[in-house]
Amino acid sequence: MKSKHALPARFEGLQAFLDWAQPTETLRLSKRESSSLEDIREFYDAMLAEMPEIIAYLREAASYAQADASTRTLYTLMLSFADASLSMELHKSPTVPDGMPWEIWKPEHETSGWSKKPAIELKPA
Amino acid sequence: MKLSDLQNMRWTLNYPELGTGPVPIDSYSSPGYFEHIKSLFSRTWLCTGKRVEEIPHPGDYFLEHIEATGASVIVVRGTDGVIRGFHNTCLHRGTQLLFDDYGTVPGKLTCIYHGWSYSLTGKNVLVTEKSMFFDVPSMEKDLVPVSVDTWGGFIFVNLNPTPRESLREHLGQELLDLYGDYPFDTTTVHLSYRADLPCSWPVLRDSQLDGYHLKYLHRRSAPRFMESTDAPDRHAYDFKLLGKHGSGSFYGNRAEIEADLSSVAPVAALASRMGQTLASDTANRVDVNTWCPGVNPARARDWFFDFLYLFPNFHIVFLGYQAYIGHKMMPGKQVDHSSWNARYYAPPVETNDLAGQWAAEYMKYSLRDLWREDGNTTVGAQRSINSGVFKRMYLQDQEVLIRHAERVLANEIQSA
Repeated sequence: MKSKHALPARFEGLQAFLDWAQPTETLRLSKRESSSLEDIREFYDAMLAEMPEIIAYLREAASYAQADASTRTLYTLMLSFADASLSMELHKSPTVPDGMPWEIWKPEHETSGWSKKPAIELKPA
Repeated sequence: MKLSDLQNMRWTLNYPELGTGPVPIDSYSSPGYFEHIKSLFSRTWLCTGKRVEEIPHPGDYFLEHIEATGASVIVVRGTDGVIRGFHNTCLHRGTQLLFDDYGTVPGKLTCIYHGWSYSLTGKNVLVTEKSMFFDVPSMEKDLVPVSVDTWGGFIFVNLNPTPRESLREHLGQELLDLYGDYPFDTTTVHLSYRADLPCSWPVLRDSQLDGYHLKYLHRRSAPRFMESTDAPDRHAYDFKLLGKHGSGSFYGNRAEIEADLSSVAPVAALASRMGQTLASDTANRVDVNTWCPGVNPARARDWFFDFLYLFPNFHIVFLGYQAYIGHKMMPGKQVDHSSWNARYYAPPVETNDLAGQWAAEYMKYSLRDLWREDGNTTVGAQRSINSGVFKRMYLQDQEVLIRHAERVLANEIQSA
């Protein structure tokens, strides 16, 4: 379990869901895919109730690189919430019904190779 | 324009050479046919899916792997700014020069094995312990080139160093005129998913060549987005056969897409307003009359997406004025193996806008999950083909591009 002040003070009510704040897309999806729909619903409902406040908070926040640890954790929780919302609102299932298994569909943007990509620069000479 | 305005339109009948009968599936199953496909991929223009702004400075490179032929290609920007391609092969003992898929080299390529070195034009500039070699001037020691060219900022390679036609000839003037003004240069890659699949390359290719499947396969991830009460059997506004390539333009039920979402899918609704997602009203953000002529040619407000198939290996799916998907589909090492790389491109997201970044991440995950629905159909189809039970395809009019793609493939193989 993370420390008591893992989240910004006004969102401490979400403390019970810190297990969802996994650091990578792959880990977050793995968490969703291995959870029951009831567990996903509990997380989704709690986040949905706070959604307008969280969005307002993120609008005021600094960039991810400059944000403090509790803001980063809140943002990561919001990423997991996006995954959870797809399950609740569209799939009605922890996984993608009739879809290929998530392990086959690899996010290249999370590989070490991708991290060595040169920085994007629009309209190079 | 409404779908019912099309009345009795049957696009397939406009191209009598395509016929209307069942389409055979030799290319999906025959090892002999696969040899022709491998040969095709060694001599035609292939879109890498990578863009010029991904390698903006001299020495920036990426590797392109073409599994069917075994080729590994270095695509690198030279000190003169020109993008070139070479086989990733040191001419001394054949070791690969680079191993990371992306990166930057300091003005030259140096082999890790014995230190031979090459300029970014491919010329050998250093043979170490040179005096101990025999007849150095007659050694073949420059890198083996491949052809590289760009269109719309996309980087294409052709393994043939002296291609039969230029990239522009390959694409054709009509396609260049229709899509040349799309603001590709304001966009870049946001995400990239890959899968190696036990299905043939044509099965994979076809999975993104019709709009027919969206109402059914994607009924959960894009609920009722393409259902029309006006003309229930129609979903397409337009198809064009553009030489070897082809395009389609598709209806979207805007009323369904917007109205229903906010009550049953509040997060999807929020993300669609904060950023650009599948449910965003893209045809109302920038006046459709100002879009390039190829995209949404009907200038329809009830519009969902267009696609442009670039023979043989790349599908662009336009989702808006500055948002599109690129599907790179490549044959694998044998007839019933292939690889799929799906990328999404849009203007870069501001790094100091965490809320906007969240909306972009929402789009990423929704595309990821939607594409998993597509992936599963291909594997199942190949199993049916390999079992011998499934022998031919009956295609409806709005699947005309599949019929055309098979015809083009056969023609290209015959003309070799």
